[in-house]
Amino acid sequence: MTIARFLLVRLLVAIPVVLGIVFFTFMLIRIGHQDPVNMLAGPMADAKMLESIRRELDLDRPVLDQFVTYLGKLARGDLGHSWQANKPVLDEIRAHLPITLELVVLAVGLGALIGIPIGLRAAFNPNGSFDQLTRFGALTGFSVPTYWLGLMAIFVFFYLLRWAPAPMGRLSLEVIAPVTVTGSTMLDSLIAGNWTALRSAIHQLMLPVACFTLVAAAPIIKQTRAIAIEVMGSDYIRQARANGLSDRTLRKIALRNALVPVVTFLGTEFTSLLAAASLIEFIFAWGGLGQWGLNAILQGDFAVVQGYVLTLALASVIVFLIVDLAVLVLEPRSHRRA
Amino acid sequence: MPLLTIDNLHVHFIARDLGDRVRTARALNGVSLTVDEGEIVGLVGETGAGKSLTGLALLGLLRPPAHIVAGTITFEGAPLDAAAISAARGKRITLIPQSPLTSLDPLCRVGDQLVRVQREHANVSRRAAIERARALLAEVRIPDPDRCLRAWPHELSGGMAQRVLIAMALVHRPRLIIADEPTTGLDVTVQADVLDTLRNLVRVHRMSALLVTHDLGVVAQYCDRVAVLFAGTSVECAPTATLFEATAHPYTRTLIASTPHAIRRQGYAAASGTPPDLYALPLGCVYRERCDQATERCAAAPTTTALSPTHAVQCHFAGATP
Amino acid sequence: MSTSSLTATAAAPGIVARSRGIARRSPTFAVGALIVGTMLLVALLAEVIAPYSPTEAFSSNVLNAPGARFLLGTDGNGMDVLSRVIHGTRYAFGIALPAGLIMLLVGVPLGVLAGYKGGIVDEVLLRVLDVLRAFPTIILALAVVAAMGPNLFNVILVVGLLDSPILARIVRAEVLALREATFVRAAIAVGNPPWRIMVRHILPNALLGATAQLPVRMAWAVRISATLAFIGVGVQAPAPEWGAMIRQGAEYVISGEWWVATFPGLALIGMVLGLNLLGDGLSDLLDPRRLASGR
Repeated sequence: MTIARFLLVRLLVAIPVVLGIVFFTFMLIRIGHQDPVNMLAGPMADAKMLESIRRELDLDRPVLDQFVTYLGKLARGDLGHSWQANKPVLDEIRAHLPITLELVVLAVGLGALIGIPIGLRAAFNPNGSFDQLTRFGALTGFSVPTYWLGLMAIFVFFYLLRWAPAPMGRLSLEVIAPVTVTGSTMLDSLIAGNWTALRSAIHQLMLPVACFTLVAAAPIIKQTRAIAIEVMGSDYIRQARANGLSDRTLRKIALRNALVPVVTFLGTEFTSLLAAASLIEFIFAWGGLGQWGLNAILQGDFAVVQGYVLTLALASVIVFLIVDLAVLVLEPRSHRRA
Repeated sequence: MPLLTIDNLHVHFIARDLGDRVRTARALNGVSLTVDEGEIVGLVGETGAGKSLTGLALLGLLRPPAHIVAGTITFEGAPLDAAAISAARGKRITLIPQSPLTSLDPLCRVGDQLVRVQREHANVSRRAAIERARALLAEVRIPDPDRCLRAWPHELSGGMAQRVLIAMALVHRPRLIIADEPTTGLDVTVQADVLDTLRNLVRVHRMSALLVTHDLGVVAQYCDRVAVLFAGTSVECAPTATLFEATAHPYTRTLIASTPHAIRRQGYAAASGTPPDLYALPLGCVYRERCDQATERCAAAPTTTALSPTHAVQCHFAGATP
Repeated sequence: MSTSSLTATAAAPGIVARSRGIARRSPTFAVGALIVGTMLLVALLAEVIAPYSPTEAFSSNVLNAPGARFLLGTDGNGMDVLSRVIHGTRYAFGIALPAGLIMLLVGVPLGVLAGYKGGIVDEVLLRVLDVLRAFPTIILALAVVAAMGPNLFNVILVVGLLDSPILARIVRAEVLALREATFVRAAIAVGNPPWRIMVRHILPNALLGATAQLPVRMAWAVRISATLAFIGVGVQAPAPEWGAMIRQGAEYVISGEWWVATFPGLALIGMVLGLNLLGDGLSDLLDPRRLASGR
């Protein structure tokens, strides 16, 4: 099977899932008990105004019809209009997505950098003291709510120690934002050569990224450890030991064999962190996709909600696709199907 | 002086259950055997007798909760402790495993694995290592060595994989090969092939082998001497011919009687009984609950009787045929 | 002659020995049980233990730091943080237990049906699981509760239903494995009707796997409901729910009144950690691969 055909098959399989998600959200908002029209129109509207707004937004037609219309618009790239910001949803997504991506990529990257070695080290001596400590640490990491960690971090590092800046967004208030190229403040400052902005961006990033990384690392540690233990107990490791290979070599073999499942797991982590980012953004006033989506849900800006959910779903499909491609490359056993 | 001496080896599996009681499975209870230079010794017994375990214990590959609790192992005249076995593994004592297809690194081609084993402890150039690998594969009678060198483990058949593992075991020209039921899961024709190859190599290179098997037919065909294991005890050790012609232990008799051709020749003879519960072994002779010759004498553990310099048996009625 | 055993057949071990055995075998379970047990006790005795009523507002003692009179301080409305945290355990259990019940009642039969009968039910379940896997649960929960209206009942319902497919998947896997087991085949061969096989043979084993997962799922339920409350969609102030309390406390952290958000957070961590430890320990204990006594 060529790469192209593989991609095609995966995409085809993913489409019903994505459609399912979109449909579900669509129904949810329409059937829910909040009436968006009231909020749009404001308290002064009379029945006639409500009617006309309703007609304008197609809300007077049966739900299924609305869905079909929505799909049609989607195909043409029209994701609807945010009544809150009075801008097309697609533009909003384009503006906010890179901001969240910056956060998530950093967190997953750092989390993996820290978490994978810890998980591996714990697995090499199962039930030893390092392992016990690690397991407990990871479990605690699981149990700490992201937003609370953020709040505590703000209190300790900003209020008490004055090491971190005030949690008021991606750039300190005095700094002028660089021209938007990628959407990531850090990268844009780098591209523009604006060192003040870069310094400020990194400064503002420290706390949210630190919190987010801790949250990301816990599942990575736990999963890496489990995978590594399974690999270490395998027949081929035992045979390699019988063949006289040193402990160091055995660990290298184990590492490579553990890599594929770990990479697959990182993909799952990425998608769930994409959503969890919304809480961090909320606390640190980050202005990313998550915060935008969260507010939309709270206020019933349903075009935005649909757009947000669609983005998340598509993002996860793409991430899984990338992971699958990586597995295809790394794993000789998958070549069998080729 | 024998190459390998296992003397009175005891291995226990120790764990605690929910009631916090210590539960001990006595898996090996006094295994004694020797392997001389240049001979193939068969280690035979039913499932759970401890055959594979003996090999693993020998190689220092036991994991908790398994522990060696008593006994000595001597190899090349010196005691085989943890340090010694670490140094000897893969070089002077090697293992051919039971399940070949899962015993090869899935992410490494066959050739690279053979090269890796060579370069681990010796300063060999990659080119020389590949040449040697090719030669080894030819020696184990793999039809297309070059293709095999480039192959991934999952592309091999069971028989091919087993040959590759034999090749890996031969890399450093070991003194002793432990073959742990090397033909499990292979076709009958392939089995004979693999065993033939193994025997030839052992003879040619003047190695010794400990052949673990449950099949007396294999023993009859390939082994010079045999040790019979029951419930982790070596109940009888003898040269092959002696074992079949002058069988001394009741269990050995039952084993022999239950092999297919024996069944045909002597009419229907059943080998009865279930494997013993290693958590609750009987006091005295371990075989007494299945033995048709058991008397009150068997409540005491039998000592090893030497019927001849080469024929040892653990039974109160040693040698006496019913 | 009854000789056989070297190891004496001991009488059934007493509670103390059993507990010690369990604690040694799985210290995680022991610690988890301790934590959850203590919290349960606190929840049951909340009225008695708490120094004040959780909703009593001391208007002259707004935002007091932790001190002699209010051990954990007071919040923005002048309510005692300690009492609110204590009463919060009731909310935590009040959500975790019913949600867990829903998960069992919905998830287990679904899993058994899907695994045993296969067919449409199985297909639908797998598709739903696929959707859930691609869709972060928190957003889903948020959207649903926002649509349905933020109150306790909806939160419990949504959280319980959302995790049911996960439980169902575990049960389904167990059932699939068991279906092929010899003893089931024997039962079928002897002529047992399908429902009987399901209930008497398959269900107990499948339940075992589900039970081990349940505390972890309940931990998730507590966590999600707190997050919902924090965002503003779940239980709302002045109810002494931990998430809602953290939400309120968030405003004050920047100005240094840390206690309003910290203590409910610690309680939340304790609860979730305890349940996670319990679940981890439980699956350790129930792991059949352990070298354990014969059952």
